[in-house]
Formats: sequence, C-alpha cells, structure tokens
Amino acid sequence: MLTPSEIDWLMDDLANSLNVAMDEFAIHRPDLFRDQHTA
Amino acid sequence: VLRPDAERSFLRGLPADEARKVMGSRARLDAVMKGANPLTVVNARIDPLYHTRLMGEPNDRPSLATLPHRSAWNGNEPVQISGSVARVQGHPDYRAAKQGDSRAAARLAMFAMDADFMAANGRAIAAENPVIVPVHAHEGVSVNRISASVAQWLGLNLHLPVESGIVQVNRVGHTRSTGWHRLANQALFAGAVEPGRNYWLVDDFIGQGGTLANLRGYIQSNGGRVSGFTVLAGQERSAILGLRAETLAELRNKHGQLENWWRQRFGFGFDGLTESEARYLIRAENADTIRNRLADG
Repeated sequence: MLTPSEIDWLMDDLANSLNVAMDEFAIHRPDLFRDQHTA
Repeated sequence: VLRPDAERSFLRGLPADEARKVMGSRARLDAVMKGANPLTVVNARIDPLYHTRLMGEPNDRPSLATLPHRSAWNGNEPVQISGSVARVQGHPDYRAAKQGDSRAAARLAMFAMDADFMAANGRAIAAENPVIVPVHAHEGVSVNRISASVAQWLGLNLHLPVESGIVQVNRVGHTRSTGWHRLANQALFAGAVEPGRNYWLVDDFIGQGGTLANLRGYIQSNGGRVSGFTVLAGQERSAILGLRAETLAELRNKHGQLENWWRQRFGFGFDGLTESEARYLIRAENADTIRNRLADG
C-alpha cells in the first residue's frame, strides 16, 4: 500500500501527465484545439 | 495509545502459561516483555489483510480500505478495445510509454485510437456525458502513464473532462504476471468521487478486467455511476467485462463450496467477478487448486 504522501505524489503526477499529454496532442493535432476554441 | 505499557502490564498480571497462550508462543511473549510492540509481534509475517488491530485505536488519518468493493453485474457490460496487444506493443513509442514517458504515451494513444476508432466508439461515450477516469498506478520502478494519455486523448476528441483525483493506491505487479497472481493481488483505489456523476473508465491493457472492476466498485461504493470502459489494447475475449448469468451459474456449480471463503478473502462474492476471472476459475480442477494457487500468487 502506498503511503499518504506517495498517494499525494501520484495524484500530482496524474495531473502533470495529463498536461504533458495535452501539450503533445497540441503539437501533432493543432486542428483539434482550433475546433475547441471555435466550438 | 493511551498507556504505552498497558499490554505488558496485562500480560505480567496473568499466570505465565496464560500469558504465553495470549501471545501464541514463549518467544513472542519474551519479545513483548523485552519491549517489542505486541501488535508488531502478532502481525509479523502475516498478510496485511489479516493483521490484528486494536478496537478504538486512535487514528490520525482515515484508513484506506484493504479489500476491494465490487458490485454485481448486469451481465452485458462491454469494454471498448482499440486493438490487439501486438499492434500496440509493435509501435516505436510503446517501450518509452510503458516506462513513463507521457509524450510517447500520447503519441501511442493517437496512433491506436485513430479516426476510425473514434467514429465507431466515440458516440457511445459522449452520450453518457461522463468524466473520464484513467487507472493511474505506480508499477514499482516507474509510473505507467499510458492510461492517462488515453483518457486525455478521449477527452480532447469528445470534449469531456478527465478526472485527476482518483489513483490506484497499491502496487500489484500485474504486468506479465499469471492470472493467479492477478487474482491474488487486487488493485485498490482512493480519491474523491462526485455522487451521482457518470464516470467512464480507461486503462491501457485489459487481461481479466479485475482492475477495471475494482475501480468501478470504488466509484460506485462512493456514490458515482459507471457508464462504460475503454482500453487501449486487449484480446477479444476480454471484451465482455460483466459476468454473465450463465457463467456465474457454471462457476457456482463447479466451485460453489468455495464462495464463502472467497468472500472472506477478497470482500466480494462470485457475482462480483468479471467474466474472464470467472472463466479462469472454472478451468481450475477443484477448490483446493484455487486456494493453493492464490496462496502462491
């Protein structure tokens, strides 16, 4: 079982992973982001 | 603990033979009399699931559940699977993604969940207006960030939010492990669930589906609703997650005498198993085989 501080770290890591993935999507698929802004 | 020496005082007040019986052995009693914590002595080398705890012991933080919650299935809960394991593992970004490279994981998600996949599966997800939840887990040496990238990719394409506050709180070592190991080592989760909200669950790979079943149970036991499941890769036989009534009947017919033991060991009955887990157990020769293999797992 992870310790409470390890769980906090993992939640931060998840949020960061989502942000990094979004950056990568923006590089390869800027069209999807344009769609979002004009929707 | 209010009186640190209370247990020793209690044991000292007993006849020697009684004190030995309370602690289970002379060696254990001696260890406690020399200052060891009685709970540490009693719980040494015992599965954490079965640790002895003191009733009413003060606790400075809410304890995490040590058994998964599972709810019964309707019997037809499917999993969207974007492709075969071989297809995903053959991608040049796979190795880096599995080792925790979020950018590689993002490229892998884009490759596997292409326009054809979104056209075939996106509508079913979007219709539920869910929050997408990835299985985010520490796998020992690294964090596997593929599920997070898959969740974000679905969210971006379908204009849905992605949950970042629910994570797996134990290390289960499922990668490349046997079905028995997977059954014996259940994934547990923590994090805030919004009651009444729809959740759509995402993982990188599906084998027996136990991890998704446990995340479903965690969310449901906290008041959320689970609308469906998507994974990056898996075999076609894993596409039915929910246990079918005829499979449950077949399992109970073959190993029914084991169900009470199973419930005590895992916290849920056979009706909480996934279709693949139940099929795996049905293939075991007898109840002793199952108990022994799980003990080894």
